Amino acid sequence: MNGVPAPLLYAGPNQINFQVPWETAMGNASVVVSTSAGSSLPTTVNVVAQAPGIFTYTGNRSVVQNQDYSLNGPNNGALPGQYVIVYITGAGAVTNTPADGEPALGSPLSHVKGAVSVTIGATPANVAFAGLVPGLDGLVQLNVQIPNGVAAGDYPLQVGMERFRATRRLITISQ
Amino acid sequence: MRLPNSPFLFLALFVSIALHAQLPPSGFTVISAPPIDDGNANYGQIPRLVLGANGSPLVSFLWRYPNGNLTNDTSTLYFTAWIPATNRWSTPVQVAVTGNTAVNGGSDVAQSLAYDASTNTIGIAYYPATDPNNIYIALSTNGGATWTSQAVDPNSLNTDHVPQLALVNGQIFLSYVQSASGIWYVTGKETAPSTTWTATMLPLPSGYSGFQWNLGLAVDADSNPGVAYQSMSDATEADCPILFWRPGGPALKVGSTNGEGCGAGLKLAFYVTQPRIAYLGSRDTDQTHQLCAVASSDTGNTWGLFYPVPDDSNRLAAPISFAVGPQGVSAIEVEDNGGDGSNGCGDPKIATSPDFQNWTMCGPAPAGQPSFGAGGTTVQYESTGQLITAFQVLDGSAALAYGLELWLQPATNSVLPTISAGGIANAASYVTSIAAGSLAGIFGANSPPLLSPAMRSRCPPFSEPPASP
Repeated sequence: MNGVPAPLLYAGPNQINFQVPWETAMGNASVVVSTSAGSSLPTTVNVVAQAPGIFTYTGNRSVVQNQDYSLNGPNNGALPGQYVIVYITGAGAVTNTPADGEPALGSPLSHVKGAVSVTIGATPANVAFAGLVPGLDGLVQLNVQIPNGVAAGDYPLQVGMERFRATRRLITISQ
Repeated sequence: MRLPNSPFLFLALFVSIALHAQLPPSGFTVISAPPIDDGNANYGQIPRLVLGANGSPLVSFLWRYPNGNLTNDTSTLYFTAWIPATNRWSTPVQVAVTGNTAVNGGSDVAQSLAYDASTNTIGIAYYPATDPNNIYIALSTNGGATWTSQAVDPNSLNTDHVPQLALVNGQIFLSYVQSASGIWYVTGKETAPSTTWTATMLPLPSGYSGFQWNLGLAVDADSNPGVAYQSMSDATEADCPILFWRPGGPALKVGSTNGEGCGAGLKLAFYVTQPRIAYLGSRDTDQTHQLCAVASSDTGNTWGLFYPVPDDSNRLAAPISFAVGPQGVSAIEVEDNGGDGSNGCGDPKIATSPDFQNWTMCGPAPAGQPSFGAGGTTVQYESTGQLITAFQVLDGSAALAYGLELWLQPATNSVLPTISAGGIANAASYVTSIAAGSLAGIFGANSPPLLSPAMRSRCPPFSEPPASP
């Protein structure tokens, strides 16, 4: 991106997953794909301060771990008052920024610099931690407390950062 | 608050599997730019390249006079590796302060790089200008981050040159020239002190005397080493027979130079267990060809004809580098020593042959480009059949900056990758705005496939790709 090599996480015939270099400036950035065959024509992408996205499975379910680390799902909801881990990317600047392609440290942790808010349904939830997952690069975890008083059922989970909002995904609450 | 944890171990696993299959981009790319441009092209000299785990290139090179002081010579040997996880080269690490070894040792390279996949050990044999009567071997077992050196020939009364190193199955194989004495073959365990290694002086056939400083060492597919070298039949050096030796065996004559004198370069490589030799030096009475190649039909007892290798109308110079690739394809990289300007190929000069008999020489760049640094031919074949080499660019041509560069041959029968319109997006949400440090996806035709189908099935994207990216 902008001539800076980007760490690759996956490369298949039709898709490449990569980490946007930390030093990429906001605005239009030029992206070129190089393989053993040569290089693509450059393509422009818009780089913003934050662009949160919640990882999903089966289409619209948030990748969330319940307090016992099991995967949150229709038959495995989180209880009110418990903490869950929500996995997102695109949280923007962090403290203790790792080098491109390098995993985040467990100590010191890398905290998201911007304000982070989470709502479950229409109810705001307490975000106890927002930062990079230690041992991985580019992946952000939110430690979120399920609000008391939320009835059982599937709710849209939304992550907000400054003026950016992630697309809502489902989380299951049990009683 | 619960402490963060790392629950996505499967994610880390597939990242590790996928990334190890990645090579640098094809074509010319920068390995390492000089930290300072002193105007003297001292950075990136005499590079050596070998293939590490999964074909990832490893490179060692010399930074000559980094402090700009010729009397307090701190010329230093460096190492760098391609790191698939970061998609870039590692920051060069100091291996040893050697002094200026770039010009010592006649026409060959003053250092030799090797990699042992069985022990994940990287080795560099070198002789420091500050201790020229010695050969040192530096070993690293942590990917080149740190190095430990030990002397191999501490009691020599003569200068040592032309180290040739191989590391296989935990074993060191080293050969080098000891001036006024002969050529030594040394072997021992990588983990043992050099004092336990055994040294053998290479034999000469009856009636021959003296050694030329031409030497090649390689290890065959059965982990058995061999050494190719050159003797002199008499004091006039009119004929300098090329010899081949296996440990424990006699010196075998590969062929003579037909009274045309001694050559400037000689290297050995194996096709499975059959040794092959590339030789830079005249054997024709009309001196039509400067370069030739000869192969054994067995493990080195029987040798065939010398096949001439045509140049591209330029004069050639040592050092040379020689590699044998998949299905026996062969390549010889050689220095360009000027010519009549009728050549159509730039540097580095590489002669290739599909059958070892018919050779053509060219280079990946247009004639005159890039400005190729002396002293560092180091060609290898990737398992894909692509040639790969490292070299120094002297002065910053239009296409390449001054410094240490890589050339990876583009894969054949392939098409350039493309990026779909709007095909760059957040890897989780597929929104087409992305943030620094985040994980993102590129959708398009990334061909050829970088991973095997079996490996792709183990490496899914983060979440389901959108129907219409």
